[in-house]
Amino acid sequence: MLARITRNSRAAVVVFAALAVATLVSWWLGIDEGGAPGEGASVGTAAVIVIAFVKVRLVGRHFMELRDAPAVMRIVLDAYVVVVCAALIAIYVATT
Amino acid sequence: MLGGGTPSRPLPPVGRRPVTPPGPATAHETRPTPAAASASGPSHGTAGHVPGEVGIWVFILGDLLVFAIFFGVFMVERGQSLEEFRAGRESLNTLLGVLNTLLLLTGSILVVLGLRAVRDGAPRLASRLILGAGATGVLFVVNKVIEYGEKLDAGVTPGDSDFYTLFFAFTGIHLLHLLIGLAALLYLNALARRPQVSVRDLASMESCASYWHLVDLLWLVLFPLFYLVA
Repeated sequence: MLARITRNSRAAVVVFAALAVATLVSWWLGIDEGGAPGEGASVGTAAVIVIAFVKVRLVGRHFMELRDAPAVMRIVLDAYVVVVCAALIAIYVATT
Repeated sequence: MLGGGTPSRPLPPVGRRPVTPPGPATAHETRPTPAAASASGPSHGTAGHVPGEVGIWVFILGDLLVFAIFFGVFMVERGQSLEEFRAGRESLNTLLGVLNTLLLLTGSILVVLGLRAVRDGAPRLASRLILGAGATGVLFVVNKVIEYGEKLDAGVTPGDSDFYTLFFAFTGIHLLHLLIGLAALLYLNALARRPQVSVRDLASMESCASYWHLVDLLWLVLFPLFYLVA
């Protein structure tokens, strides 16, 4: 039964695996990063922020089932991801 | 999801879930069929299935906006005290943070599978999956208590620096969300075990599940900000 349930939710299971891997990649990217004063912004840290918001979009679309939701909900999710992610990176680059 | 966009039409109670092998309607990921989409009207803006009740989505959107402000405040404050935030980040136990992220991701997929089990007519399995998700949430709380305890034992308090003020405030508010999420899971579990699942029950279950995923989603940003970026 569990096998059938898992098979029927294959996309979500694949997304789960991708999210777990992305978490470990972010960890690895963040180990020697973090923007020490004077070093300036780092690509690794910006990548960590981008990965976080890609994850947010995946959770919204596949776990919260927004990919099947009315277009307005999907657009709000995408807008949130793009605007907040861009704003955070802009602040990061400007202040580091 | 009972065939994609069906709940947009008034339906009689679903009755006992299907126990027959899944037909085309349940054998694949739920995408609204063209028929279901067109049944909701010609407008592209409203075609599709709103998971759960509209009210929960108003709440989720409001919460997302509040946390967007939190994220922004964190970044601005960080820019004003780079050295302090760097020291704060280095003092955190990143392994605990990674572990907590994996716990919440696991909790999320278990709820996805649990909801699928409800729709496929397997209430006992659904209940086990949902309670498993609850267990990941409880472990998250245990980890957080250990982490807060370590900090307080080391003499670190929220007033020590802007980093710790934000750390305790934002992760504390998130922890509160998680505790509410655990209550939502208990309710979800109670509904999933009902012998009869109505369309309304299903909407309530989807609302609980969506809220639980929100807790996961918010942590997916909080974790890198505090543990990796700071």
